[in-house]
Amino acid sequence: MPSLPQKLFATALVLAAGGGVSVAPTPFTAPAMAQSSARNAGAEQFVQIQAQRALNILSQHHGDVATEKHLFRAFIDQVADVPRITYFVLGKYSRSIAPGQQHEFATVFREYASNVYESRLNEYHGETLKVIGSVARSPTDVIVQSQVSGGKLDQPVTVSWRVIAEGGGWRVVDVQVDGVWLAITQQQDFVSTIDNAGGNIQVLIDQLKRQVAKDEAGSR
Amino acid sequence: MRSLLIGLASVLVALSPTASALASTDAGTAVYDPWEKANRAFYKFNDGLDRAVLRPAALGYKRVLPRPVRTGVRNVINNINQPNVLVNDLLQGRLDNGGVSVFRFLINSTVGVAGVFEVATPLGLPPHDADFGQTLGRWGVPPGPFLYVPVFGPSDLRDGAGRIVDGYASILSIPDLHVTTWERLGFSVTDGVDTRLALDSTIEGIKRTATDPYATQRSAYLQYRQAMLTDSNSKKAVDQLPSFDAPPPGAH
Repeated sequence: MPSLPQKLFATALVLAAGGGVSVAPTPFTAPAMAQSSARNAGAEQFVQIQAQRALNILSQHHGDVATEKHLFRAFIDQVADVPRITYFVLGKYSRSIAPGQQHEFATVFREYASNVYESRLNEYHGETLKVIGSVARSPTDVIVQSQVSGGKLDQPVTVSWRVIAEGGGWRVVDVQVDGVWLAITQQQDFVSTIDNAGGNIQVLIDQLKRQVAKDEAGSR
Repeated sequence: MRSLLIGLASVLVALSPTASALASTDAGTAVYDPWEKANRAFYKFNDGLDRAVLRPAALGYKRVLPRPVRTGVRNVINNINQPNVLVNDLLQGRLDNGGVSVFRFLINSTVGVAGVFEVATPLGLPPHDADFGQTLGRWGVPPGPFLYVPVFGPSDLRDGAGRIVDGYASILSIPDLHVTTWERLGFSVTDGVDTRLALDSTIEGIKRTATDPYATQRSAYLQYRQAMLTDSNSKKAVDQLPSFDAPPPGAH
């Protein structure tokens, strides 16, 4: 099987787990043309600006892991559409989950996803990102393509960002590296776990709680 | 020849279980895994083999050989595979890629000293992948059921058949080169260990964080292979992506 560029995967996880790059949302720009295949300058600008801010945070060594994690988590909250992603990763079970359980899942998923990307923060080695184009599924749902290069990458890698327009700005909902969409993969992971538990969503929630507890114990 | 190969591959796919074995998913990238029970057993076997043998071998390889040497080894492996990439470029009608493959092989084999040094990329000839499983896909052969192959890992029926053809089509199979079976085995083992090392961070990350590592590997593999067939950023591909619906009010 051809190898996946592991640094790219790690970089994308850092930038995208639970959401992606963040900063203040830039104004939403819908293309004038009705054709949904047109590029979207607003979405592209959003990704370029947010990517640069993310890389700035990663390149600042605060000497304190807790501070770095806090800064990056705040950053993610601003750019990622966390509620939409949380709803998405449950797949078919998002429609049947009880409200109380939904809240329980949202809380633990937030912690779980944060731990996943925070564990990768030290794998940033000066890579840079440049937006190279976009394809619109609709005026409010755009895939922005970028190239990540430099650092310890032997050659540039293409990373795609799926951004959704909402509330006057853009937010990231998924990231693709080497053809693999991270939120889609996460959804298939979670749905499989629930399927194998006979549809019992609590099994997934409990497993995520154990994972979070293990991560927290490991970080002390 | 092409018709024969397509026909053969299509028969293999047609004989496999269908329809009801489709794992339901909202993700748009449907998972066809009718042999999931057996695949999970093979995954468990592979996981044990990986912990006991493959990963230790990969880490030992990393400890023993400095990075520049490992890079040279990977370059040689890639260069030996280059003729197979060329053949598949041509079978797929991708003459531009075929041209790049020809020059990459010539330049890396000569200036690059038998492929040890990757000199073609800085000259504007970047590497690309092409294998017979991909060729079959471009000819219209569907992937068939997902397979988790002992030792080799995730695959599907089409890629599995393609891998067998690639093995026979390797430059190492040319009789005039007098490559012994042991030498071919050594090449395959080195390729496998080097690849396992390259994927270590990803594989260990999946094992540590995924709630179902088997399903996660399956998903990533199938998406990756699909992206090798089609431009994953084309209008057609993005239109097939699942929707990210807004959660109902009060969901969070």
